[in-house]
Amino acid sequence: MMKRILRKRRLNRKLAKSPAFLGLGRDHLAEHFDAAFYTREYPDTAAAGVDPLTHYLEYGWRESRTPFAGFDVNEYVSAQMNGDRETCPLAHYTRFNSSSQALSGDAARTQEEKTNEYLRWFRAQDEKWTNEMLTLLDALGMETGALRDLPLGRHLRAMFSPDDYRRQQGLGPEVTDNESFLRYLAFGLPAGLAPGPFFHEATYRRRAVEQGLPSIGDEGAFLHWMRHGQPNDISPSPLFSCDGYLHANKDLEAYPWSKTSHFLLHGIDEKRQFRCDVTIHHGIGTGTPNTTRRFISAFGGDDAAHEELAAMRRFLGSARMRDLVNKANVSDPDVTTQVDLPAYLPPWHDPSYADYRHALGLLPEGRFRSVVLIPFCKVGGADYVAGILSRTLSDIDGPVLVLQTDEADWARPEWFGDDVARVDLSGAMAALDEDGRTQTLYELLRRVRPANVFNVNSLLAFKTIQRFGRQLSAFTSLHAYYFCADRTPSGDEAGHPVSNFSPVFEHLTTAITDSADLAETLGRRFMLPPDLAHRLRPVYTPARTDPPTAPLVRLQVDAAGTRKRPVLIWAGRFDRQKRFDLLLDVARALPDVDFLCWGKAVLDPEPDLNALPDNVKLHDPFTAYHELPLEAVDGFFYTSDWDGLPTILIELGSMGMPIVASTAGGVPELIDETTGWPVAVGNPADDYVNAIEQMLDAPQTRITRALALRERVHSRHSESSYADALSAILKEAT
Amino acid sequence: MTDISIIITAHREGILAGATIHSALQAIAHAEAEGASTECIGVLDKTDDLTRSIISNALAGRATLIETDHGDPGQSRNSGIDAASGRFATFLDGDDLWSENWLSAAWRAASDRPDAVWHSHCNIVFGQQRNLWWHVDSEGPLYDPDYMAWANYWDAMSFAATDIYRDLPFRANDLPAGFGHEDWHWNMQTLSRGIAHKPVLDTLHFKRRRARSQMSLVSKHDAVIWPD
Repeated sequence: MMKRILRKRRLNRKLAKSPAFLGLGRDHLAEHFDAAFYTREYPDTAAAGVDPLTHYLEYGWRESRTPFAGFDVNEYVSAQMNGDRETCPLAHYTRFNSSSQALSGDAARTQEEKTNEYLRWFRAQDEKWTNEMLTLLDALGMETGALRDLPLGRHLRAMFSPDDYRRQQGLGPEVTDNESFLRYLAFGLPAGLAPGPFFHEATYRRRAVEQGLPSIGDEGAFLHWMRHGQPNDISPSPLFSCDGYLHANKDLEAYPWSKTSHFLLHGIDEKRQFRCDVTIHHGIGTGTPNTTRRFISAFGGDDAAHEELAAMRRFLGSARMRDLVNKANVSDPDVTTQVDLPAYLPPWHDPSYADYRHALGLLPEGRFRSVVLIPFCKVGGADYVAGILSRTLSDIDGPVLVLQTDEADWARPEWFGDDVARVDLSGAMAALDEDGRTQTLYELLRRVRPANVFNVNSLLAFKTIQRFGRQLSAFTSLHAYYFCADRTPSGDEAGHPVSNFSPVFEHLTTAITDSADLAETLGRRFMLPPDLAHRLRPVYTPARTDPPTAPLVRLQVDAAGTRKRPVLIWAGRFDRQKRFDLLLDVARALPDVDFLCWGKAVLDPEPDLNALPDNVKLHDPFTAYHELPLEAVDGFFYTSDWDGLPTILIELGSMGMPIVASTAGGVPELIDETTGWPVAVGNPADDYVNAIEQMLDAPQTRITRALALRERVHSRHSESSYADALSAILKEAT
Repeated sequence: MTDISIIITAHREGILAGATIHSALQAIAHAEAEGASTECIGVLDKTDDLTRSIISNALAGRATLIETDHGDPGQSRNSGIDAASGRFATFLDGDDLWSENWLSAAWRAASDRPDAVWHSHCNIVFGQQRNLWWHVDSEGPLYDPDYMAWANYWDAMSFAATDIYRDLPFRANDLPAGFGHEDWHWNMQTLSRGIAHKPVLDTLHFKRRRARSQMSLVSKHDAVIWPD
């Protein structure tokens, strides 16, 4: 009970402060609120145990919920509130339209009085806005004297086009929209400058004469419109007429105030139609500009466009058109004589084009030899490969454009370097359905027309190749990277090599794998004949760190006497794939060896870490190899059940680290009996124990094998060998 | 020289072709009353008996009928152009209609600008959909070149100097390769050669929307416009 009382008090204080409730308190608002109706209508509020009025005042009115039976919120807001969604409809009704006399004490008021009262309130909002703007300009030290005599209002901001203003004034994009507007208020408006293309001087001059307004003197047409045209609801744009707006918005028929202001302040953002002859649809992508604003910006000041549009408007529904339609109706009565049809003017009817156009606008200027498609850039191995691929392509073949398709993460820009252009399409694509996304990406690629397209794990790219691979391969060579498959909890393979290999392979010039093992697996699985298997191309990823001059193994062996016990490193995710459990079994069987472990669970639930053997020490994941005590250990231990060719083995191998490793995926291409101590996947922990003991017992063999591994990495995983492999692929693609 | 070659392309429209011919004859009479001389060419592509019967009867004695085996709308139009002797040519799909003033108004417009391709001011769509589409002027501010890469502005029921169609024939659809929209492609090709596409003011085409049209077949194949 006390909680409810406190909540009501807090709410009352909130109501008193909030302009949304027009200064009314809870008790006033309760007079017209029907709690029983509200509870019946919205059972979720009862289920939540919230007082119905409290719920309405805190949430319900913003969700357009109905406060009492028969109250049509949307109609009321449109017809009575100038479309204002920032004011509580119940508060507005209580203050201006109810028959209650509790507030004013007046007798029943006439509609005109109510209208006037609302208009006063509405103008008060303009005054408040004006005061805020003037205060801001004063604070910025800008001259406001010339503005104080002008009937300023919120429609100025709605009419303002920052792009046009910046263009007119020669300002760069570093001048923000808000700063541009303040500059306009301070300098442009007092000089009579119109705020944007919605004001068309010739149109206004003509309409002012037609309406018998006072003549336009020295103050200029726009200031005249502010003083005379705007209060008389005279549209200053040939693109907008009050009649057309009302025709397209039947719910505003009873709306008694300025339709032009309604359109500017609400209609544009509400994406209302405003012409009979042109239906405008809006894109749905994140960041896609409002199409109505774009339409006004494109044509507001263009006389030739006005003329072409006027010819359409004159013909639509004219006696001439009706006559022609009636005659066609004689040929086929299915041709309706009803010509009040949805009318489309390409491209303004097409929401998907609005999104495509927005995405197109993100593309940089210039020509690109290659496009690299990535889902995102986090910190994974595939992200690194995308970076080295992009940089290498840029070095050996010319300009590269990276298109990021699925998510906005861009964690490691240095992996891609400064010479590679990048565009994040993920926001523009996010709201589109799959057809829209694939069509957009296809059209963007057609527009860029690179010689080569490389996909590095972008799901959207795989879907686009699946749908438009035939057409894409007519003008570009398609290449896709494949890394090792993942496994489901039941042990089945999953991921791109399973889902997105067979559907796109026919369109690919090259399917690049990071290990020979994966290429062989895919070729064997689909029984590819030699000419098709040739498209499968293992390309070994280069090591990313510069190796120390002296191989680690020599330093380790030289310093072995300073360690009381042998020490091994294990590093990886504590997930099923990486077999941290196997490490623990081996550690228990080798109590005289210390195991220093770096990692955490990422994909699977964290294992029980409470009963670790004493010889296992855990650390959080490392971010750079120099964080590891590489010279103060005796080797590295790797236990995965499945993998590609893990980067960590490449990097440590490059440094001269002795390694005991499971034979997962492509690991045997690196670790064999001459370069380390391989143990077959699936073998028991005892086999790993034996391998570790052999490694620790033979320092000279350790040196021999670690140096052989180092040599193998240097020759096979160098940047030059990677560039050679890519060059061969590009050469064959031409 | 004949002023206008009217090329009606038919496939398997059945009795709907009768309404098309009816509308064409109205427009022909209107144009001839204004002094234009016309010839009529019917191209029956992989047609059926019903369509053949309707068209031969409706155009009896007034048209040259050509039977083709293209199975392709663009190639049918090319065959019509091969047979055309008029200074100007125009196409009518076998289930669509013209407004009565189309031929006369387009003839006047094309006589003034024979270097341009002319389209109706707007299309009224009927049948399974009902709406209205404006045709913009490629030389005017309403034309957005970027949109031509995304979708088509004008259909194939155009009116132009026959030489334009002869010099730049329609390309055959290649649905197995994923390429189609021969009208869109033709518009792109003409624009790239500097040939304008313009609306003839106050004229109408009536486009019938029905299932199993060539257009829906192209969309079903996810076909796109040729990249060149």
